[in-house]
Amino acid sequence: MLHPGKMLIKALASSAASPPAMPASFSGCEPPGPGPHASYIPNVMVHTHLGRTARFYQDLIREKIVLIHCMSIRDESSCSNLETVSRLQSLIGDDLGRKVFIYSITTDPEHDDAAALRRFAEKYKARDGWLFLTGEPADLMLLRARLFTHDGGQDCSMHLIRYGNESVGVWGGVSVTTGAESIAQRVSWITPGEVPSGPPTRGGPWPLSAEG
Amino acid sequence: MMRRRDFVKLGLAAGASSLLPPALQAQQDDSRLQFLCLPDGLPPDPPSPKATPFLAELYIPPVKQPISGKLDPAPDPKAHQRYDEFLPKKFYEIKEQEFRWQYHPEPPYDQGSWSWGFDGATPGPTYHARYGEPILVRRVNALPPLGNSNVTFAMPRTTSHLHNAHTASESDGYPMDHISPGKFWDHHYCCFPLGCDDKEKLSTLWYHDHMMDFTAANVYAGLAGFFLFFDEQDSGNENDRNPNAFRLPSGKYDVPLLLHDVRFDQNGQVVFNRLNTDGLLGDKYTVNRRIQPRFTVERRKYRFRILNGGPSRFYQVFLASGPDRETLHTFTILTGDGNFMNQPVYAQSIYLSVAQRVDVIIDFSQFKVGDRLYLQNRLEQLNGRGPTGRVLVEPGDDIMRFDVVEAAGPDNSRIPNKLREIPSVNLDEVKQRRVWQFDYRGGIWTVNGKPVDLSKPSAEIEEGSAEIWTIRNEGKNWSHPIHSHFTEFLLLKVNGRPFAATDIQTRSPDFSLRRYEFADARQRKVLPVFFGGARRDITTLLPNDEIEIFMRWKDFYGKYVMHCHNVVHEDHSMMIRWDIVPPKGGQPHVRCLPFGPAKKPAKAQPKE
Repeated sequence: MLHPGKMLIKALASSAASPPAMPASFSGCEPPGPGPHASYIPNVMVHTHLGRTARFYQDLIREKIVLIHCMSIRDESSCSNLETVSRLQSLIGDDLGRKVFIYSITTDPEHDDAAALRRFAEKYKARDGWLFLTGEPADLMLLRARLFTHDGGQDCSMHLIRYGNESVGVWGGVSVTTGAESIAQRVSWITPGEVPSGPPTRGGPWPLSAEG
Repeated sequence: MMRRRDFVKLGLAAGASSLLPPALQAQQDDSRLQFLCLPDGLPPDPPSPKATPFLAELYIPPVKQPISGKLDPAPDPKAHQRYDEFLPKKFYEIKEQEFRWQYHPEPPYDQGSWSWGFDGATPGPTYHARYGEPILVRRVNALPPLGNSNVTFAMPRTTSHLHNAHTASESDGYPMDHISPGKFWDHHYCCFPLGCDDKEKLSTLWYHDHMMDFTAANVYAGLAGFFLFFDEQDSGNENDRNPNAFRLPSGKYDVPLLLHDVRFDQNGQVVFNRLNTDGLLGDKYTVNRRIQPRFTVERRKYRFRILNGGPSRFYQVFLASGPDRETLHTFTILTGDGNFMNQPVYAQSIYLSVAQRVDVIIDFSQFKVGDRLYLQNRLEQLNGRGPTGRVLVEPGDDIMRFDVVEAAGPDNSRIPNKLREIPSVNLDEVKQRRVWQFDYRGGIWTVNGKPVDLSKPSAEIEEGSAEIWTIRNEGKNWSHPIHSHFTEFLLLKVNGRPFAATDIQTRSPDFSLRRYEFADARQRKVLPVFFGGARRDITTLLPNDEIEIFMRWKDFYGKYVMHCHNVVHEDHSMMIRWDIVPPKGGQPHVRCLPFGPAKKPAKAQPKE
């Protein structure tokens, strides 16, 4: 077991980053059903662009394959990323809304209410399975802290997409700037496929090209 | 019950529970975890179940043996650069599998923790390879497919990197060269040094998984092992009659030690927070995947290859004795990051950021039978971003214990006065200078302000050329061990201070405003800490560090990566792709042929 020795305190030694200031209030928290990250991903109430309310973990994450990222209507840098997510829908195909879900969570809940997000979603031709989410500022800050930034504050403006299969418990992260095909590839990684049988077959490397 | 914010109020270090006093850890109420909207912020990491130190025996991985027959199907020569010039002399087959692994004999660990590894063990077997003897390794992914495994935080797609061998791109474990369960990948290791220059040879390497987005999880799950290079000098035989041989301790007296800090749940299963972007700290020290083991040593010299396997913790290791660990003993250091230095270096402690390794000699004949020595860590680290900079005084943290017994026979091993020459810098070879800035922006780790994009190279490097790279840490709250594949580097400057070939990076024993000091290895003084010599493959960037390095690229083409080896940072975007390309204009670089072209057998002469 690790234990603290007597620390030789250096006056000018750098210290660890201070934890972010935590919000003062939270909306109705209730324990969700079991799941690998049920005790880590908050079960806060969120509001979708379709005007419905959902419990984040229980209704939107548990037992699903999901992709989650941050956006805001006023943030122009979100635009090209949302176009990428819009193209991603066709690559996911019929699984979107059945097995795979995309959540775009606003960082600006004061301005991005359900009605504004609905108009925004229509602009990017969001299909069933792609939800824009808003809610209480404190709740969304907690979501960002848990999903994106850990101890790094609340800034998720570099557009990391959290992707995960919560039935299995496997999660990863990829920058949305890598493009729709690259993100769709991640979805295939976390989607269970065929169980192999027979002796192993070659996975690589493959014959080199003339330049190789 | 003490809560996280109460620690902050008391001015104690906030962060991971790894520095919570044992008494308070015992009082933690796990029923808090059912309340999901904790007003304190991040939920506390529950401590791992208790494990009595020095009860587990050190596990020593076996030496990997080649197959006796042929691989079926045969390797495809067309898939490997220069295959016909470096025909494999030995073939290996290795399997990635899931199994239960006993980290410790006490409950709950005694039932075994679900792990991944090679040939049923973690660490995997140790390869012994020789320069001049090319090999081919067929790596089979026999892991359970996604959704069928007991290890759920890792990704059963794999790609294995031999850190830091001189390897063609298609055998190097490129992150996107991954295979699914039921597939195999052939790795062709040509086993020759860069440019056929003996000074470019390496000794202690390791192989580990490098799956895109999942390097941290897959290595943490167990996919790693050692790979050792030998040659005429470092021959692996302490009784070698060759006058050129070093005769370092060999056989069972040459022991690899892979350090990982791991966290377990109440059932003794390994836990890994997949949503952490900073870096993860385990609260149990493991050596070769046993918790705080003991190892019986004879009163003679041993060679230990100490490797920090991560995922994120930095170490400053000491060798201590006494009930309060008050007596410190000197390490004799032979290599840094697998590179022999010109001569042995002596130090009281060794700084190991993630993936750094050293070969040290410890001579236990200076102790008595029954003495106990402790390998310790004394570098304070409270979160995954990097160490605080503070070094603990006694008693420190015990990693493992050495128990001294009488020698079984004579000790014929030696410590040479002179080891190896390192390559020299030649600025006439430099074709490009580049700057790489490592930073944290908007929730991800960036290189030159951008997230990783392996679809195109960030640098195209001409084969046969050299470059000078400036590696800079833009942050003051985090540290990064930066690693580039394929080739080692020579330090030119550390924070503006030129680095000579004989310099050793260290620190003043008295506190000074300068972070580093530099000693001349030829003076053979005992240094307070060893950060490294001139040649390495990990650049440790502490806050705001800037380091200038010289590198050469020869012998192969293709794509490779440079990344932070706090592999949680790598997985959250701190990586770039660079390619080796044919020289632009002019003649292609003439490549060396260490073995000469294959000769046809002579025709039989008719009998007279």
